[in-house]
Amino acid sequence: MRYLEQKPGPFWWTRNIRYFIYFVREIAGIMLGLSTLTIIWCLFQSRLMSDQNISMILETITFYSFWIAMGSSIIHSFTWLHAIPRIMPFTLSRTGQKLVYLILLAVWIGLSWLAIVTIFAPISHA
Amino acid sequence: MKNFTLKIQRYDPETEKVYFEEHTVPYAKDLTVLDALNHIKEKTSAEIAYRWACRMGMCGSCGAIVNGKPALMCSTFCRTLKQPISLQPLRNFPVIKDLVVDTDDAMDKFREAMPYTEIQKRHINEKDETLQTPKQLKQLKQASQCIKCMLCYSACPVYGLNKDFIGPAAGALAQRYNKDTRDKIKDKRMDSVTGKNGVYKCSFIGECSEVCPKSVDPAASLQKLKVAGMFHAVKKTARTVIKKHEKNLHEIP
Repeated sequence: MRYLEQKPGPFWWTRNIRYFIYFVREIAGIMLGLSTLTIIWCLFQSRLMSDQNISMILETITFYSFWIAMGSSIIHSFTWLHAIPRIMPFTLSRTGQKLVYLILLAVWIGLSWLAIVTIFAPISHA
Repeated sequence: MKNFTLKIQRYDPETEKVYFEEHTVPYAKDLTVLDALNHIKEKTSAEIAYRWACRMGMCGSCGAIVNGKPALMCSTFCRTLKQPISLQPLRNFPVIKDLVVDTDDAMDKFREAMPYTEIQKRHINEKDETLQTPKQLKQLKQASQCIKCMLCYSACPVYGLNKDFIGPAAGALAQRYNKDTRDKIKDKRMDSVTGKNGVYKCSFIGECSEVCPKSVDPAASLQKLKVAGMFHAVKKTARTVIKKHEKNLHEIP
C-alpha cells in the first residue's frame, strides 16, 4: 500500500476549470497587493527624485501597475462575489444565488463609482 | 460504435509496479463503467481489484478517477465518456491494489466532526420521541445525504497537500449535526472542527461540491462553518471575559 502521488504536483491547477478559476482568483489577489505596493512605492519615489528621466520611468511603472491592479481587483472581486451567495446562513436556490450575486455586483459597481467620483472629481476640478 | 476501450491503471503491491492495461468491452447503451469492469473481470482479467456493492449510487464504494475526474463508476455511463476511458484509483489516498484505496484516514476525520446527537428527551411526548418538523428537517437534509464515497477528499487539493486537514465530507457532516434541532453538543463540535487543521484550512476551491454524487455541497458547508466558527469564537471569548469579571467581582471584599 502506497501513495502513487505523494502530493499534488506544481501544475495541479491545470487539471480542471475549477482549480484554474481558484488559481486565477488567488493570483489576482497577490497581483493586486503587489501592484498597489508598487504604485505607493513609485509615488513616494517620484516625490523624492528630482531627475526627470527617473520620474518618467516611475510614471510608466505606475501606469502599468494601475492597470494590473484594476484588472486584478475586478477578477478578484467578481470571483469572490460569485462565491458569497453560497456562504449565506440560509440555503438559497440556484436562482436565488444568481439574484444575490447580481445584487452584490450592482452594490460593488455602485460603491466603486461613488469612490471614483469622490476621489477624482475634486482632482479634476482643481 | 462497436466497443468501448478502457485504460485501467494497475498497481501490484508485491512488485510495486504501476502500469496501464487496455481492455475492450462490447458496446451497450446503458453500460456503466462498473458494468464494463465487471465484464472485464468476468471475461478477460479476473485479477483486477476494485470495490463495489450496490450498483445504484448509494453505497459509495465504487469511487475512482474516471477520465481524470473523481466519479462513482456505477453512476457513470460509458457512452457519455471520451474514449479511451481512463480509470485510476482515487487521488490523495494510498493504493492497496489497482483501484482499491485505503480511506481509513478520511474515515477517522469523521470522528472530529462528532457525528451524533445527544438527544434531549421530551417528556411531553408519550414515547419520548424527538420529532422534527419538515422545516427543521429541510435545514439538514442536503448535508445528510453524504454516502462517504470519498470523492470530495479525492478532489480536494488542500487535503492532498495536508493530510491533517479535516476535509470536505467531515465538514458537511459537522454542519449536518449543527443544524439538527435535537443536538446538544454544538459548542464541543465547533471547538473540534475549528481547530488548527479544521475548516479554516479550506481555501474554497469548490471542486468537492462539483464531484459530489449526492449534491451535498460540502464546500458551502465548510464556508458556513467558518462563519459559525467566527461567532462561536466571539461567544466563547465573551463568556470567558464575563466569567473572569464575575470572579473578580466576587473576590472584592
